[in-house]
Amino acid sequence: MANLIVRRLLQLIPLLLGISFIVFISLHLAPGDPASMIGGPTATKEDLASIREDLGLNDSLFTQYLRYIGGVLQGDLGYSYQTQQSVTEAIMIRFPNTFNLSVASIIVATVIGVGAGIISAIKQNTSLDVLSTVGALAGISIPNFWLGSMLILLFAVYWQWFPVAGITSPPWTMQGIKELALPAITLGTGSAALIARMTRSAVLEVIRQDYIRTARAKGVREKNVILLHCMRNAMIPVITVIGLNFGFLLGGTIITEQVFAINGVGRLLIQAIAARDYTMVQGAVLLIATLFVLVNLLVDILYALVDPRIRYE
Amino acid sequence: MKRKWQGWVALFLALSLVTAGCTPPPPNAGSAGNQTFVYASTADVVGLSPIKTNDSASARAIDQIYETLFVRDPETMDIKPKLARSYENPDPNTWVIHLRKGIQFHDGIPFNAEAVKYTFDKFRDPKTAAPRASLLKPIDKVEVKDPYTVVIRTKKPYGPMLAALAHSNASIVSPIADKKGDLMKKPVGTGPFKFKKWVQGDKLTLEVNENYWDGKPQLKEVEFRVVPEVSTAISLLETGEVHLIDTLRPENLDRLKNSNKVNVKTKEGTPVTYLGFNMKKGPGKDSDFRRAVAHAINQEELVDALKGVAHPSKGIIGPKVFGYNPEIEKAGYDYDVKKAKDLFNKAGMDGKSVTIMTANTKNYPKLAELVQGQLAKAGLKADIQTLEFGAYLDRNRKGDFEMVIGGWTNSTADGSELLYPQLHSDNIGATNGTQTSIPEADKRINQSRTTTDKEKRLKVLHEANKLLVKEAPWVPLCHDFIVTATTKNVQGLEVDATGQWTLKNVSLK
Amino acid sequence: MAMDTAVSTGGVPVEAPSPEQPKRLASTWKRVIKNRLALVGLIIIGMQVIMAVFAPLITTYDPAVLDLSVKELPPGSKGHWLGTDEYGRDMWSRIVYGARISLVMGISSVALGLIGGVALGLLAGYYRWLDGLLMRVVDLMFAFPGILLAMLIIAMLGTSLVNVVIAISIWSIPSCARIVRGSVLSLKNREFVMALRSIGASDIRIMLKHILPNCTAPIIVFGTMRMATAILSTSALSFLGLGAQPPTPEWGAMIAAGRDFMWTSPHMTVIPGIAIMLVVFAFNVLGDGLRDALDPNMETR
Repeated sequence: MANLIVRRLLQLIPLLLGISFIVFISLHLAPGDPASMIGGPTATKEDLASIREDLGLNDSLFTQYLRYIGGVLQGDLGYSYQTQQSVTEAIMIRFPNTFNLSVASIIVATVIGVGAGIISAIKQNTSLDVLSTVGALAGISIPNFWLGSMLILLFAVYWQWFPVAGITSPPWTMQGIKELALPAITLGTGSAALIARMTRSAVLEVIRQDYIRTARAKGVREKNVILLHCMRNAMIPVITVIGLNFGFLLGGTIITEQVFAINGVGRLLIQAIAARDYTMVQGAVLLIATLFVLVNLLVDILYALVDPRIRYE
Repeated sequence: MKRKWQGWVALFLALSLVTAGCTPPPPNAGSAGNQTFVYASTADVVGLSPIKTNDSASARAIDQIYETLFVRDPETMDIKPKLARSYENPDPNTWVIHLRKGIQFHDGIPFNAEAVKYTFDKFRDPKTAAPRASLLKPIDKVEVKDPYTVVIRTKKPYGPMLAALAHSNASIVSPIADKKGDLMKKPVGTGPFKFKKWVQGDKLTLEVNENYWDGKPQLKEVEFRVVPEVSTAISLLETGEVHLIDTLRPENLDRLKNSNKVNVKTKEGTPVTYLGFNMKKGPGKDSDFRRAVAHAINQEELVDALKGVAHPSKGIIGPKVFGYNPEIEKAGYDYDVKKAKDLFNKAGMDGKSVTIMTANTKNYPKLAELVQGQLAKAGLKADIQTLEFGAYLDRNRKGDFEMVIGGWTNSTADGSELLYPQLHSDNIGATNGTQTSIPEADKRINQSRTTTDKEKRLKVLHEANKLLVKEAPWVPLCHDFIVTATTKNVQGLEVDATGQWTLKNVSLK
Repeated sequence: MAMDTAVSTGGVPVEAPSPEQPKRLASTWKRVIKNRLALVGLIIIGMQVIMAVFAPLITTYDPAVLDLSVKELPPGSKGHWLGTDEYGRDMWSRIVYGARISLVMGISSVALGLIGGVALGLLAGYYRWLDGLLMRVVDLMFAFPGILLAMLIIAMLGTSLVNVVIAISIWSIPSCARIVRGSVLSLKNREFVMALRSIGASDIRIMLKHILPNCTAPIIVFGTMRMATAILSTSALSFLGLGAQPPTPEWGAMIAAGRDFMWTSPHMTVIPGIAIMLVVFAFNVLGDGLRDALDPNMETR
């Protein structure tokens, strides 16, 4: 296990180098540069020239990349071209919101997904099964920006049960939960469908297995049988989905944060790409990639804990 | 079997209800009592230094924190002194500006001629890399004559000087605060509100400046919230969580006009939206083609489709901009599909197609679709290419397009500051995206910049306007209305034609 | 937004070559038909295909021509049974032509993604020495949120549907590569591959003629579900203003444009929303049905 962790963390280094290189190149290939965006539509040639000089954009690409990577290796993600704020600081302000949103949406997805999955497995081929399958699939089929706007209109404007947008309170307060509810539902429905689907097949598989039959035969009450054995096995799809979809979740936060005016890393990214804020995009992407790898590592560890049959070399 | 699963279903329902937070709704977060005013901006405030920023979201905040030497009257658009008391021109190259006494910056240091000199020198220093440095470029020297008199010298007479000094970016900053700290994060000015707290990307909080020299404001605090989606911002306005929004699209107006909680105010503004041609290459080189397009554009229909967020004018310099003369309306091309068809024939463009580039912001995509429809009626097929703003800006600078739909906010409200950057040959490769180079127009634009005589400026600007409308590097599509929506309890908000506003006299009833 | 479907197709087992391919196809078909939901999906997709192919025949208006005299008509209006949009364009025409666009977008981006993914997966699975390197590349692609990748590609190449196709297909590559690699790994040490190798068949021949046909089941399932993803992703990019160029009747762009009319003309956003939902739903259930049908262990009854 320790071996696995060390190996994965070592693999992270070339991965991050690769990502930073790709992001760097693609941003520089995109038309426009930070100076152009800082100067805005009113900038004259002189304005642009002095901004470029000030930002060091006249150096060769190679020099710029080395300068950047040199900083990163010393733990310095640099400064935003646009706001001149430290990139680390800018990300740290926003990361908690994104994190809370992701966790809340995973909770929503798990509750709905595992519930629907178990019901449809137990009630296999009944109308309840069809209903929850259809429901889960409908969830995956709704464009989430559309769902978000609809939820705001209904629950925040019409009924006013929830605040419209923004996050102002910590997630453990009532206000914080309410603020997270709509965005978490918006983001979580997609994953819920996947979890439901996988839970259903996992539970079906378990039901057919011998030890369940044995347990039943031994006279254990059905509810307990299912509870004990299925839940444990249902954990695996949940973990898998969380792990594999973490990238998706972070991607989803980009749109959800936009709709719900949440000051998160996703929105930071949209703006930074639009502003050609090279350092900011780099920093945020590196953070996301690192998280992705760490979450997947965590998932693998959890696998091993939940299912002792899984072994890592 | 059935009964055993009821428990599960109940648990599942209960959990989803808890997660969905189905608790009794709170009443409106009514902030009317404590006089905190909330403004929702669709864009992030980039920074809070007037020297280092050039975006409208930052400008809105800067307008509350800092002040300029001169301001525009929001109604008449006349320029009047603010931090300045008066000024005189002993000769056209010299501006002697007398300052108000007894004003303090938020950090307690006095406002004086030194501060003005410091601000402008810093602003003009190429090392500062101020994005809007061009605004004060004509200034040669700033001198302190006595503590409350500053002398600005230019090499050539500079007509739009007062308009430039009234621009948000020419706000006066506290020299001590700038030297010691970072105005981008901790702004210090003389304005009615001072900096309290800023969570970047989320919320900027300002508090009242108790010592404000021009009467203490009624609001206690002002919040700038970032809400990227206009429809979300409108929802916030309807629930009373936000008091003011000013980036409305025509689509939103119907929804708001039916609302009993919201006041929508519109007034004619300075921004102009145009259809431009690449004057250096492609079909736009041919004046017949440009005239054909001008005849094919039905401005009334465009304005109508924009549902009252735009007003018509044939002029490039529109009704709210200095240099406008109503006679321009007769000089423009009238809507005439037949003439347009004939001219397209003459230009050899019938049955051919062109590409219109535009940005995916504001009303541009909508206008592009409408223009596309109108050109189709006259027999010209147009493809639309909407770009994200950065790419649009880049290609516009390089002149890499056939036709373009763009706009110019004109935050100085002075015609020179529209024609010079956008249509003068000096600025090809930067702001003059259409690469217009018409010597006759250049001459008049230069004249408007190098004289301080108001009447003469009006005259040459009108001439330039007429000339450019005839030559048609731009076909004006519409001129914007400034639209603000507030909750019903907001009083005393003054918005000027450039879209600038101050919260100094605002109160919540 | 899109889901990663790698997980859900992972369960499809790889079978040894069977001489009776046609028979197997027929039995799969029967099983899919038997599955009610998959049948519904098939019907919806069939309708979409019909709409896409016969679009000019079943509409009376050009989806791109404006007529401001009839703008924002509600559904049920005379001559426009689904109403019109803010420019007076017929909603039915736009939905029908939109079906064509979403189908073309989906097929082309999935096809491109499959080509890339299959190639990567085959190589990585077959050549052990390439495996490490290629899988690191795949990891790298995985660690990039798809929408971010798309935003970068579009910032670089510009906004157009072609670039959206490129972005979405690149985004499909890593999951597809993993699935194919997994199948190849389990196949390549099987007896028939050993036998082929011993009689001197070339690697390329073995990969393309013998291994690839045996991984078709998971690829088909993946491709079907990926169609759903591609259609959703296109609409998400349109929402961010990075997708279709106006006046292209792309469904996602229609939703995004219609959202502002939610209060006054809700049909402008609800109708394309339903269209997307139905189609995405259809591809998902069909994918599900195919997976069940192709999996001999999953006897559902």
